[in-house]
Amino acid sequence: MRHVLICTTLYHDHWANTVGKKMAEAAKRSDEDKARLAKVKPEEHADGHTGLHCGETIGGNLYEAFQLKLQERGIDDVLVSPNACIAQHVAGCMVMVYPEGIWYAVHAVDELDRIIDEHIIKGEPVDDLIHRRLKDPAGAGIDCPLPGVPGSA
Amino acid sequence: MPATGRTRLRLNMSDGSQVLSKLRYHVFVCVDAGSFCGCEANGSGDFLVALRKQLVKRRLMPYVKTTLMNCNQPGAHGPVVVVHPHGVWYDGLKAEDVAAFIETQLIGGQPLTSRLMHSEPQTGHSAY
Repeated sequence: MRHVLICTTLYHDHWANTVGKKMAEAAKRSDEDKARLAKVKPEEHADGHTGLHCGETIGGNLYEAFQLKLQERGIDDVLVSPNACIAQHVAGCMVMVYPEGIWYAVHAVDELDRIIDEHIIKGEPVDDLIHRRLKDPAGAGIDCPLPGVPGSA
Repeated sequence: MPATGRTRLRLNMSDGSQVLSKLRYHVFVCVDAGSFCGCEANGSGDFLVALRKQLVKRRLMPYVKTTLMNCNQPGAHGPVVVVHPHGVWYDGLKAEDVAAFIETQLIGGQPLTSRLMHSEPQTGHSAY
């Protein structure tokens, strides 16, 4: 069973914490990009929050979209969890796939189709969407035991 | 590429081929405050704070990443904790179990059998 975690967390939570760093990145965006972001109005959501959730600037609720796309294809052995933020907003909205340990940076809802068709169905990670890998294809990385753990004795 | 107009930001830190070499475990803790599961009401916040304090104390922060999530498990007693990449699901870990959790699961690599989730995680549900 695969576990897919999607960041749908409120933007303001992260922006409030690291405004300076994020503003520098935001300044690099194109004018077209800034204009589109400015047009998005904060709305009240089902969960009672007012504000932008991650994914809404690129066309909708990525979590619901992912669940619908899975249902369309009749895939029922994938567990999807929303609201899993790892504070990588500068790079894009994060979609994490475990147990492979791959973090995708998604910039459009269409890219979810590629993740499902190529990774979930065929088992081949989508290389050009990958933000980070936690495991080297050669074997190094997250599966290794903890190295000589300082302070654990 | 779809025609969104947004260019893909490439930072030094976000090279697609980079492997997080130090990270060994990615631990997800459910903090869903709704009525879908009982995770927040049963002390997932306390567990998370206690876990992070212990990880700092034992200098394990580079090796273990802790992240919030919504577990999507209807009727879970909570708090639900998932340890990836091994996909070990826990239900009912309390703040006082943190020491045993770190010793057994994270350092020892063996699941803490007394707190494992009773059934296989259920798919296809939506907490929204």
